[in-house]
Amino acid sequence: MIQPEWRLSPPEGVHEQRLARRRDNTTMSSNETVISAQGLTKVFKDFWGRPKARAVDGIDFEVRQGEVFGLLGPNGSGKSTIVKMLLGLLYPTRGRITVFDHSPRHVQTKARIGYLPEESYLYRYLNSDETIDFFGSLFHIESKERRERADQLIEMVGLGNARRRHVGEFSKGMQRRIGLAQALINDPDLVLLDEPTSGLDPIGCREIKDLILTLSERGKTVILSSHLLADVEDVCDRAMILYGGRVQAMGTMSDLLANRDATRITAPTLSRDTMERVLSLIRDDTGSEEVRVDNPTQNLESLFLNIVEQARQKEADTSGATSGHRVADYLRGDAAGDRADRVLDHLTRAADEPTPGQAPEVTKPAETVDVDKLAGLAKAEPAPKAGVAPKKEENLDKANEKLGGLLGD
Amino acid sequence: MWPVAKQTLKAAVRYRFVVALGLALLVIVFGIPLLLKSDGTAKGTVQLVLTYTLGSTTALLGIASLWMGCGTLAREIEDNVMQMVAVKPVARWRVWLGKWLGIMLLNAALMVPTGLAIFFFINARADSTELGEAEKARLQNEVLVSRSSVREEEPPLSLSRQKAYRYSLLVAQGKSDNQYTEEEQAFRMTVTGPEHILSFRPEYPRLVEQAQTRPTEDILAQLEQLESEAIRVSKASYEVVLPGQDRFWEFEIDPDIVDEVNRKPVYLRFKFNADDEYDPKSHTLWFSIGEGTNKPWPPEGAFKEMRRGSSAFHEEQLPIGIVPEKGSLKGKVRVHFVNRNSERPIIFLLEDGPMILYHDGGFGMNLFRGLLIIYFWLGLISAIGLMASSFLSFPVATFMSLGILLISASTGTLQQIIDEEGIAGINHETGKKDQSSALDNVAITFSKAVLSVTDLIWGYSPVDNLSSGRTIKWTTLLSAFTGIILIMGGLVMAFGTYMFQRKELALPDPTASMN
Repeated sequence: MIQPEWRLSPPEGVHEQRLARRRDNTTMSSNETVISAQGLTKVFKDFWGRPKARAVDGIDFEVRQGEVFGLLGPNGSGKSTIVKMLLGLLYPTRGRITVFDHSPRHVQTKARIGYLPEESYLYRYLNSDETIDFFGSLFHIESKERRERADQLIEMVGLGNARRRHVGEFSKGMQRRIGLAQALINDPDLVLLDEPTSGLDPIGCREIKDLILTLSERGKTVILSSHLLADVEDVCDRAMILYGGRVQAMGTMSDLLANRDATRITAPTLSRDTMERVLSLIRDDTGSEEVRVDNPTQNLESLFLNIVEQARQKEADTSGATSGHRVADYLRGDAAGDRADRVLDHLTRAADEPTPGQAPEVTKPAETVDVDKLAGLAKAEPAPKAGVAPKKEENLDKANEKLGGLLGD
Repeated sequence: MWPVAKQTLKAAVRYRFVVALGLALLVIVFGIPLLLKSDGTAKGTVQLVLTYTLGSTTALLGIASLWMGCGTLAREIEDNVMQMVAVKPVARWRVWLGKWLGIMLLNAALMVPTGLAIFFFINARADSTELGEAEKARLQNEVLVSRSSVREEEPPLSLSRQKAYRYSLLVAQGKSDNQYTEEEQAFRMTVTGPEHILSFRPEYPRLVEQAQTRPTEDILAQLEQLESEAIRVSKASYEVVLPGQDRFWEFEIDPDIVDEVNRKPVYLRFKFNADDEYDPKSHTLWFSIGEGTNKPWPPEGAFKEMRRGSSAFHEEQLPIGIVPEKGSLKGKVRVHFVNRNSERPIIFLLEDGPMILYHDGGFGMNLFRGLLIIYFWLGLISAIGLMASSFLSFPVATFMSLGILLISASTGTLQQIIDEEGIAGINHETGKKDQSSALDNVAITFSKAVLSVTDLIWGYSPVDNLSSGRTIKWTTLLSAFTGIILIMGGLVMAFGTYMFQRKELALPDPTASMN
């Protein structure tokens, strides 16, 4: 049996490692502007042309290549309206918007875009194969290539057992999965995901987030519209928070979330002596007694996924959606030539090749190092710049050295 | 475009629409003939079967095309499925055209087996052992055949006010024929019937002058009335054969095909009125045909006396070889009619005018051409449905499309508005129109505009032609394609794709405006 190189549900810890790498600000984002909006305004009008609702009000933003950009806001804040203007499904009342330097209505530009809408807008009478084939044909992908991609995508989204069932018979989660598959048939450079985890179980949510990370690591740009804070926090490089059609906040996730008044260090379990020395060092350095020590806990998502991973060992045949499938080859790109994928492979291979006879662990907290904060704490070098993978590894090494020195190992 | 077309076709199949239509067509082709009651002759039965099966097929597929045209686009827009297509690299006009092609593929898939079934079913009936040889021959020669028709050249009934005025002044000079100058003689040769009739109205030149110097509504109305009367009188002079009078028609058949034509029977097709439209009766008619040939009809050369019913078409089989094959009359069939009734005029309306029918092909190819014209109609109907659904919701689009079709098919009513010079109609006591209102003028303008358009669409009678064994020419087919698909269909498609291009497909409220 061929061992998959990479699964949508990576082995435990990998997801956290990938998130950590993102937090290291080591994405492949470049200076190329993919989306640019200036003074973007959308006013919905009634039949007689009278203004009815101002859904988007004078928004300016840019998204660069390789970024995962979050549109965050409560219901009715204008997220979906922005996404639909980016797709040319709605036309701005005022302002200017370009995607890959063209109008969103430019036909050829659409060949570079993948879109997952907030609801299932698919033909109910088509089965999975036909759905993917139809949307693939709209991209003028050759029949053979289309079939290969469809096979990979359907496996990837876990609908291999349901490819002959009509989409109308699918559960909401399955419809999201087939919707995702059609969004990726053209290997898009820009992926717009509108509430992608809506209706999905935690496994599906994790798979979507991992896919977003994979795409981003390949230099794809992802726009994620969601009102689920955890989704955005987990995968986005930058986010724009909307309310009432206006931008309330925008910046990198670390900028938006950073608590500049406190620092957290995460390390393997320490002995009491080591702990005392560290605390003493910190107290001496900060001159404050407000130092707190506790055991890190995994979040509920990680716990749930680990339990399911074990249960899956006894998985029975199902005609519904399954999980943990390999990302389509063409979406993974050229692993040999892609630095990000090589790092990915390194990580996944290590995680995918367990020692023979080793029983899978149910819970094992991820070992993560916040290099930025660590570097700041040690008053050493500035944080690494984005987009340079080798430097990232150096930074990791340096960080480990510093941590080792700090901990007196 | 093709993926969208295939998708549209697939939707029709998956939603069992094709099955329902197929069953309905089966009932039409094989069920309707069982219910029809004809005049008892094989020819009458086959004509009736052809008329009803083809007519019902056209009606059913027309409704289905309209329904699909409106539904396939409007419903996909309303269900937001169209958003998924519109974000792909396909121009919207291609999506629109793909939908249309899908419907047309479906229509083709339904029409081909229907046409074949009609063809074989009719032929099977014609070959039935129950029919005598004479009846079979009549069927083969008059219905299951493709016959071309030749009409008399249309008489000049146009009228130029300037010419009529000049001619009236010339006639008023009272010159005899040899007193006219060469230029005046040449001018006289160009005068049409209505212009000639106006020269007998001394008030006409005065009214024209007044209309130029001091035009008033009253003067203009008088002028228009005089002119329309002149046209009517002139037309009537070609149509009405008073008691004791006769009428000649000359039908010109292409001399190159005379030998071919003379190998099969030739028919005289005519319809007449005898001022008894509301209570048609039989009347005696006298025809003599074939002057200049050695096979005249009747053979003895005198007039053939026959009793025929008014207000209905009749066909008289003429002897083989009746078309002159030599001399100056080669290819010219002369028909001489005499009205020997003592009181009753016989009227041959120009639009129904007599014609000579001759064999020029088989029924199969004629059926194919007739079905193609019906297919073009279906193409236009589905385009109208798609056009309406490009910017309207499904029910409103259906309502609008039906309205367009009803208006365009109401040619009789529209023609009546023009003939009666308004919607108020003619005062039957005076025989004239009382007073023209602005509404009448609007109605006339509207009717003329609609008729000029609808002539391009409905100016063909494939079902009538097929049931009477008359050829639908390839040039007619080309003209139908140009008028129905290229011109009218093109206009509808241009407007539909423009509206679809403008449409914001993700509006939260479908009734919201576009901006």
